[in-house]
Amino acid sequence: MAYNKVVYDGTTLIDLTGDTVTANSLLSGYTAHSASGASISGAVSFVTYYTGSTAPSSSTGSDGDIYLRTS
Amino acid sequence: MATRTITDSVTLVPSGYTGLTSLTTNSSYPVSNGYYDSSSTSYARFTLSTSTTGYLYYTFDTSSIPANATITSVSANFKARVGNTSRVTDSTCQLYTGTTAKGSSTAFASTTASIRSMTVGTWTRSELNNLRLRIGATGSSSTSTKRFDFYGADVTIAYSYTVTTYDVTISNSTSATVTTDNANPMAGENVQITADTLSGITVTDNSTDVTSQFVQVSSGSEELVPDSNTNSNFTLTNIDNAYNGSSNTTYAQLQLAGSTTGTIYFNFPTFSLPSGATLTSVSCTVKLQFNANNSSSGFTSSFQAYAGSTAKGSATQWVSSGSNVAVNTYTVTMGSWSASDLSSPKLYITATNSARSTQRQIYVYGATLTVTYEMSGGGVYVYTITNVSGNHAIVVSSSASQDALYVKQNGSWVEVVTAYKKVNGAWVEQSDLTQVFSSGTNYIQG
Repeated sequence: MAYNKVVYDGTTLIDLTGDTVTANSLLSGYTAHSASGASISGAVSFVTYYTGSTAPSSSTGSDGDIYLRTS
Repeated sequence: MATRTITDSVTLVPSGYTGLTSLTTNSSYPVSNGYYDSSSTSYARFTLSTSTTGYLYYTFDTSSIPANATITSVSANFKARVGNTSRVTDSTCQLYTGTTAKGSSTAFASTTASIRSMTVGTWTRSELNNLRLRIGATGSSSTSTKRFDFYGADVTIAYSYTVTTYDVTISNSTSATVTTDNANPMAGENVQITADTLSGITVTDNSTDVTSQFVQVSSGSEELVPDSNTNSNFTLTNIDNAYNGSSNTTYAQLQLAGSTTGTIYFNFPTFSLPSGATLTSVSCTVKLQFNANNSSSGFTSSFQAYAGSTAKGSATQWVSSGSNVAVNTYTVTMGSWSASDLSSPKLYITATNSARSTQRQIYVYGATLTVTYEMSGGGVYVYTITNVSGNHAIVVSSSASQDALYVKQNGSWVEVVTAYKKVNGAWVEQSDLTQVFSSGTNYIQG
């Protein structure tokens, strides 16, 4: 069971209930706890785009990446 | 039967090369990039070693010039540039017959490519059998890269020659009867029919012992030029080179700019069957070469026969694999034809270049329509029509995409010339710029 708030002797030690982080706002590869206290894994990924004036090198980038040639 | 002097000319572009000496070629800009005329924008790249003179000979196919021709004049243009004028010296182009220089050489000692002309002296027909263009330069003592680029060349050869022809009698504006001066043409000989108009010509063969005959229909006084050729995205040059059938060795060049679709058609002369004849078959071949310029983006073509405005048979589809392909003679699927369909036989060629910035070319050598019919009294006759009528191979439509993509660099928006996506480890050029980015994806600059 997840916990999102800890109170000891009338004093709030930690309170996640107002946090706004979600899996869709956290980078892929990172973890955190949501407002409910549940552990979440980041789901946000990026496609890298490159720019250049010549044809792209085969060693540049990974599958899905974009290259914009301007001349 | 008569002897006739014909004057003609042909413009040739390089079709091969030989004698590569002390030059390093570049796989990204191969020697074959020089197989175009001097208006080409692609080029072959060569690199010189330090303090070394290198050269090669581009060769030309002159087989279309009759063996008995008298050469009237030879003129030539070429386009080249050097990478650095202090590192590359003595850069010249010159015409040769074999290894013997003709005329004068012309330098291209500039880093800016431009079209230059050469003086080329007096030639005999036999010298043209080994027509070459020698291009070469000397590398300086510099250790930096020493290179030059060759874009292409065109050599125009004017000549005259004599042929034996059989005259014909024009009975009226829409029919002609072959009388052949009371002589029967033999199989393979030319019957030349000249008329002011080519529409509706009726050919009646009076010979009885000829079952296969080459009928050449000339264009009379008509000019062999396109009706319209105004769209810069889709240009057709040297069109008269494509009027000599699918065994022809010269060609017209169709050039498609990026993101362009266009159509041309061959308009064959009207063929009227003799009275009492039964049409047996109609076939058509077209000789083409597709130049994809080594781009993997979409490059497709289709060719289909028409009777007037009615499509016949089924379209032959051609799809590029991204590599250049050799010249090929394609057989058109004709379907069912009637005698009346031969009043306006056509062959349409449509091509689409989906690449954003890569030009593509189609070399159109010619098309041949073959009509076979059987006479009621016996005998099968085959007529091969290798000429299309002048003034009718036209650009009928073309279109181009105007989509554009910009990226802000150093405070200014710069248009993206080519966009690539990496697929299975390789960069693939994207033909549709509207699909490069998607709204549900996050992007970060690399």
